Amino acid sequence: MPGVAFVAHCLLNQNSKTIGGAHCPGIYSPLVEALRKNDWRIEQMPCPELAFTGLNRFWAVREQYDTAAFRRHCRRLASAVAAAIEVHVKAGRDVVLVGIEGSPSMGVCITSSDPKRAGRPEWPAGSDELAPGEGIYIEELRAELATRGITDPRAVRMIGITSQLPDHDNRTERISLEAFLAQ
Amino acid sequence: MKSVRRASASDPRLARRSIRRASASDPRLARKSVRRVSASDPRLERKSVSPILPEPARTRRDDSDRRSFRVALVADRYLNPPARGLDVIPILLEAGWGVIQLPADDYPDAVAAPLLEQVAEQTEEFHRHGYDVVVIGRRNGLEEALAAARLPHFDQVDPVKASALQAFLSKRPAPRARVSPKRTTRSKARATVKES
Repeated sequence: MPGVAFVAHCLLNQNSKTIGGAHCPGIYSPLVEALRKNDWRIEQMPCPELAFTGLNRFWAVREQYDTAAFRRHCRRLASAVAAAIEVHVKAGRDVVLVGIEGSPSMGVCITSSDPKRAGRPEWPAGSDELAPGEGIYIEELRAELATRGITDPRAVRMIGITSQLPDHDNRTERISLEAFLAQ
Repeated sequence: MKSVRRASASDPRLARRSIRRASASDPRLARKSVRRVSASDPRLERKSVSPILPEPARTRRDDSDRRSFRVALVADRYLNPPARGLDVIPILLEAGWGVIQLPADDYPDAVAAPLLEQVAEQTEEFHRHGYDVVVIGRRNGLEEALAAARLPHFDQVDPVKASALQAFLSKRPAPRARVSPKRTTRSKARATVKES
């Protein structure tokens, strides 16, 4: 049964990306097409980084965002989003969350990590920042959902868009996304 | 880090080699080759770094960014339209606009208010940097949320037909952020607000 897809902010608004990271002018069409094809309702989540560090922020890894202040900010956002998710879960609708793989905030299975990154924004050539794990906002959202009694992983299934990953392939992503939505 | 390295070996998406291969097409990774120039010589100081960076590499990051500098605050009924309702996504896709979605009309006030607060905070960032911002449709509480963020009234449209929205968008002036990238500092943006 088609349900409600809570999607990362930048999937509807690439203007929110860190400078250099916008893959398209505005809406990331592959996701919207997949959702529309199966009559999923679209709900956009706020971007955790945009309002906190702004449009002129540097590319950053998880460790740089993992501060008490940023987590507090994420909890505020997560509280607002979880309240909306709760409305749909209580109504018995299928709810999915679409994050961004490789993001320090929105990663679902892959985040970015480099414990030594600091100072002037330069880092050694070839440094590998992708790492298994969730982004900080996703962690805080899970915690907020748990406080509302939404702990069943089937109640809010999660997947990440891979457009930010080096080996991203549009066709592969489309297939995995449609398979995920059809579950 | 050890666990990260182990995972890299098993997950092709995390393999270092693939990341290096992709650096030519991925702006985030391409920057590493630029940095290597300056990082290789510790004697380089701030002033001397800029001249040795090859111009194409230095500008590649911005050139590859495809943002439109145009953001529309869109009522939920235009993004999740009822049967026979106007669906604005194809129009915004074609015109290259980004979307900030307004909370659904049927959300309780306690749910909608914090979401509207987030809409206003994010809109403030775009407006401050000279992005073009418009409102498509209406949402109770939006005006108050924007006012609380000290934002001005944005141009607004309630389109019934696709042609009306297309006409509205086609008449928009070029975004200030695109016209002059240097106007993206806080001080310049404040000046912009005073001008408008």
